[in-house]
Amino acid sequence: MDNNEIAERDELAEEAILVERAKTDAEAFGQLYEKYVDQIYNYIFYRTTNHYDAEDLTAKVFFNALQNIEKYQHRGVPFSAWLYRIAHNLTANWHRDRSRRKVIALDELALVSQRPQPEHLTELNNEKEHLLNAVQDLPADRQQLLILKFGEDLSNARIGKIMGRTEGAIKSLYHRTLRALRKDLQEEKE
Amino acid sequence: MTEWLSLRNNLSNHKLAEYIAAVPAFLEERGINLEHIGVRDELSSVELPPELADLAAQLSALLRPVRPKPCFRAKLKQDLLAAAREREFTAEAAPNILTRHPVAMGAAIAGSVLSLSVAGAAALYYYHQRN
Repeated sequence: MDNNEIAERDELAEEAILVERAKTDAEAFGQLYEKYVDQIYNYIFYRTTNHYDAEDLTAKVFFNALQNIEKYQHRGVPFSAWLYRIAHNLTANWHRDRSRRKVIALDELALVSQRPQPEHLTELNNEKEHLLNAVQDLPADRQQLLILKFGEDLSNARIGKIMGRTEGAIKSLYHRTLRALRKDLQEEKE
Repeated sequence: MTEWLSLRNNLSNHKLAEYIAAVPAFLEERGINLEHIGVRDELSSVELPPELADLAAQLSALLRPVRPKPCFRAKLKQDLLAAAREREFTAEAAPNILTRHPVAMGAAIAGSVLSLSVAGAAALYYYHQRN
């Protein structure tokens, strides 16, 4: 076992204690919130690409976690894996509801468009916009992999723990995802 | 470091991706063990053919972390803590009635038993009277 693995094991053990405390202690739940809110927000933002829904769904994720934390059982994976699963389910519902509700109310549209986008997304050129659209058309697990890898700078091993797969499976999924994206972009150009 | 910064600013994404992809082989040639400098996983993830490494570099620039607004973050924490404290209070309140007021609870139980007994006796008396 190398130093990274030992550090990660210790971190998980500490987190398991914190999660047990959070079942009955509000302050401990606050510490978990501080640790993961940025990551969950980032994940939801790239799944929805607007701040309005990212805020709404982030709040729902943490209230859902608070309601159900008593049932949570530590299984040697980061607590964030559970939070990402909740976030994944809520964003899937969000996408389903949006596809059903084909007409968006004008005031809702105005509200969403008023929110400023991050600087690197406001100045999207055509090529980047195509890439972002192509990422959003990927299956949810591939989007999650890219967001965790590039948005959170996590290692394949860590991503594997969060997504419930081996490190090798993540590497393979990563390669397949890049190839699929490249193919999509090329087809779009033609 | 300064040289690297000036080189980096003048590199195209494509060239940069090519250089990064060549790093593991270069280090290996020089006998540098990647695990010892703690970058094995990071570099193995960029061992990609140039066309994919280029795409990875574009994704890295596109999917930069987006953080919530501080006021939203703080307000949500406040609301969550309030909800969590309320839950703590509710969980504590139920056993406290029994532990903090044992005399009241004892009296209530005794009262219930007594009233049931009186009602039972009255019913029995009524039954005997009828027969």
